Amino acid sequence: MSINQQLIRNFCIIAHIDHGKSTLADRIIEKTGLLTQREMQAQVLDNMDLERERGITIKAQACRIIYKANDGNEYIFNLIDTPGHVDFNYEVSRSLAACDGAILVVDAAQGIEAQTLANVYLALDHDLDVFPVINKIDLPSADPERVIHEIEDVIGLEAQDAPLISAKNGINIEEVLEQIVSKIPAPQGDPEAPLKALIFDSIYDSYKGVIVFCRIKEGTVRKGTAIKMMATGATANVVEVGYFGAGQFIECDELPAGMVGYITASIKNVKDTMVGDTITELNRPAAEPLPGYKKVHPMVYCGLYPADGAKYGDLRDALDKLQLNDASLFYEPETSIALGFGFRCGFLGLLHLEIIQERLEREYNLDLVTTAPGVVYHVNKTDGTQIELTNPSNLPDPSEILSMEEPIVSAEIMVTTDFIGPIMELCQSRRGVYLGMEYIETTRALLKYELPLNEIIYDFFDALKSRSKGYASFDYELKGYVESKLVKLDILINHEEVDALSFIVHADNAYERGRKMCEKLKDEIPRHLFEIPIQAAVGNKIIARETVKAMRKDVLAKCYGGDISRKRKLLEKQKEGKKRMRQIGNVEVPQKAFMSVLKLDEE
Amino acid sequence: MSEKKTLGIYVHIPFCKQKCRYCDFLSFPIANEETKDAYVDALIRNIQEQAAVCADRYIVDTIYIGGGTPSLLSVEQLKKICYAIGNSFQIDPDYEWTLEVNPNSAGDDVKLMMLRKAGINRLSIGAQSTCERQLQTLGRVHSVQDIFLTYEAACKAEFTNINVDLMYGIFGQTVEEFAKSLEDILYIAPQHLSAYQLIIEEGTPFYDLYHSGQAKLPSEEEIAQMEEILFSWTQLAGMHRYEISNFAKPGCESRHNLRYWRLQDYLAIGLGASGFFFGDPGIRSENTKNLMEYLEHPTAGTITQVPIHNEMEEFCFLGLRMLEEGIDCENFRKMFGRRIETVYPPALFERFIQQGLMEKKSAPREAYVLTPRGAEVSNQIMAEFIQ
Repeated sequence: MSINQQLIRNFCIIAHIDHGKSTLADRIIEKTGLLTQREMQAQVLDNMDLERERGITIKAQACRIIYKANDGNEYIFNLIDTPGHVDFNYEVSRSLAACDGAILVVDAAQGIEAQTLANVYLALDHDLDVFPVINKIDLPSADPERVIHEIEDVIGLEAQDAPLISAKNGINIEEVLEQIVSKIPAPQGDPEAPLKALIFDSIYDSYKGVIVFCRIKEGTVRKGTAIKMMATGATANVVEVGYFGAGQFIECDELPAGMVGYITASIKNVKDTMVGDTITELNRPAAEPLPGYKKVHPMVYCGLYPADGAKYGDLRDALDKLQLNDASLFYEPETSIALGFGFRCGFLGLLHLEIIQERLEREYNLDLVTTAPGVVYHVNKTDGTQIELTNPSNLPDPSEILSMEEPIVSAEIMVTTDFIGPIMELCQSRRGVYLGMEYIETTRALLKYELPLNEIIYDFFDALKSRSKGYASFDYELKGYVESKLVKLDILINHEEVDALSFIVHADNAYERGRKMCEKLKDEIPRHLFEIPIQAAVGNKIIARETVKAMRKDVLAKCYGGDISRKRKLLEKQKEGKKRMRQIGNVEVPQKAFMSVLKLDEE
Repeated sequence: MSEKKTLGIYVHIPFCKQKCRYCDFLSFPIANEETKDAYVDALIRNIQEQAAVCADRYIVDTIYIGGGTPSLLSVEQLKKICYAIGNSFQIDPDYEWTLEVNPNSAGDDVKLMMLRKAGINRLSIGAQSTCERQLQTLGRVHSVQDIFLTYEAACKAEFTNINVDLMYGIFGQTVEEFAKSLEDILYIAPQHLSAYQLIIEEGTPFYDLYHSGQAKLPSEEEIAQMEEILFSWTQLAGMHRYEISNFAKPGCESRHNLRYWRLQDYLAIGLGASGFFFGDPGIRSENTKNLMEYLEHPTAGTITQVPIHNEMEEFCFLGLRMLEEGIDCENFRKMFGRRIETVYPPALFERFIQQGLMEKKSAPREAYVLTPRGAEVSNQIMAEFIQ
């Protein structure tokens, strides 16, 4: 029983964060009748706890649903949910490549935002047919007319017949379903051709091994097919093929061209099934892979250490397990004088870092110390070689350094005109290079800047939000490396260098950052029996200093017969507190101190 | 027959006119006469029941009646307690018997004389301050004048061993105000002075007051100045600082309190009182804190075993409180059968000695004692002797 390609629609939903992407996905699944309203857990597709809490999609997910359209036909809808954050841009692009069309959701009150534009352009780049939907029309501040004009003027999409909906309240969802049928093209591809299947995600399952999510572009895949990953070269025999029910896997006989589904093949490691790779038949390979495969490289690195040194093994096991599901997570063992044994970890971005950190703490019950996240610098040495620096401690001696380069992104910031001034100031202070500005309408503008990545990984987004009262939105992509005047800033506590606190900074900002770090550390390091100098240094030069004064007094005034047990507990607690601190020379530094320097700009 | 061991007895009287605002001890404001009578009866049963178990092995040489406010009991009630102890235990002729009194209820010289005759030979007067404003802040029920009247009455009643409690670091207290209180007290020349820095304990009105930010404590610098005055003036008055918060004229140290710091045996009588018997393991007892239960079963309470290594730790951290005696090496060896340096690494002592926090004495006895700087930060040092 073959599937009629003409009755398949593969699509995704794109939107700015909080414009209602996941809610609309829920409604579509609900309206097609696969799930009753009672069975629906809010936001079916985001099934990681963390995703639901943060309201973002971390892993791509997919769902197959059946829709009986007004034309009398039953259509197969394959809805692919894409990650919604710039950290996961590559994953987004591969998910889009698995679709033939996209629904653009725009908030009826807020209109177009930076991510709306970034996602639309990404979709158009992948030749998707995009149709707009205006969401949240039930909001008092909704202004669909204005938003329709905005979509037409700014993006150039026909929007006059855009469905006006409320995903939250289920208004006008049928119209969206009909437009999926009428506006998104059916897939193409020859089911008899050599197999070409695009991997857009994979997950690890302890029973089935790796489950590969793919879109069949050409050919057909069946149980028993011998397959080969064209980029990684891994081979396997297909054990099972199927499609995605709501929250479950449904086995079927075959996946022909045009379909979206999954394959299992006793693959042990997600590293063998990289997102973007092409699956082909081992015995009848395709001539060339599908375009667009990239090996993703971590953009942000930091050290992760167990707060309790004895938990090193647990941390390694937890990272092993997380990596089963996350091929973009990188880690290797490293040792810090201050923090002991831990791992240098690479992430796609700061959000990715935070997610991994939170999952380690929550799902694996680990207490972590994180060192300042940094980007990958290129160090050109005098001997003509170049090294990629991910850990500031590994910076070669200055005499061996010819020059250093840092990654630069091109950023687009959408902002209401009232806040252009403050936002430009912010970008300027982050060493931004102004590229230009476009007015979207009279009250809103799109600012374009080139910014060093290391200036935006910490807290740029928060600063942006606070300076624009929450109205600015932001998107960026990596542009390349440029030479820059960079120095390594070291922190000395009681004259001992603390490797875990060293980081690379632009020479012009070294003094300011050093001063702030010393101030912060002064507040975090408890008084000792002696005075403790805290210094920031560049090379041999001290550029900032604070002092933790010696402890004046720590004494229990009264201690008689009835007090002894209680006082003993107090002393035990005091001792216990010390155990949890890190010993640097003869100074005990609380774990908190290492983390607090990550948040220098909060106040 | 082996020689009898010495024993201390602590008797707790949990009644007060009103609870002081810093106090976290077990005490209740007011009690009617019937309750007090019933309580005294329970105390006496408590004394007799304990005596039945251990009186033949011990000779009692210190007794301390504390509270609460023991002076809220009538002379008759107090005498009953005294006689019960005297009749149940063998008392060392050279005993010390302390009664805590509140200047508001200590009574006149006649009452104090009767107590003196009943056997009490040491008074501890809870003065705290000679500044009316601070007495009010603290929630004390007595006036400044009550302090001097009580002291005068005690002298008339021929008490020659008197302690006065003084507090510093009170909300809003200036260095000058503390100096005046100290001067006033040293002027009447008690044999013993307990001077405590106010501790803000959780669950007291002061705790809430402090954490709400409504009241300000003296600064670290002001406290340091108060202590400087305290240490130098007491020295001039012929007192020595034999414990972190206690000053005495030679020979007038509180023998009962020294028991606590030397890990010597003491028996607990009364509501919520704690006792300790050294051994392997040691026994720490705590009587019930429930008044109704106590009135019915004065022996109700909990008993905890103290493993020998915990006793070693306590011997050290309590020993360090005694700024002259310190950790007595010979006593340690006698009590635990091993040299202290085999329990704690010599490097630990050396580190503190090098940091100027500790000294090793060889005479009159071999001991580790805190320096004045070590006493200031004693918790830091004591904590190192735990676990």
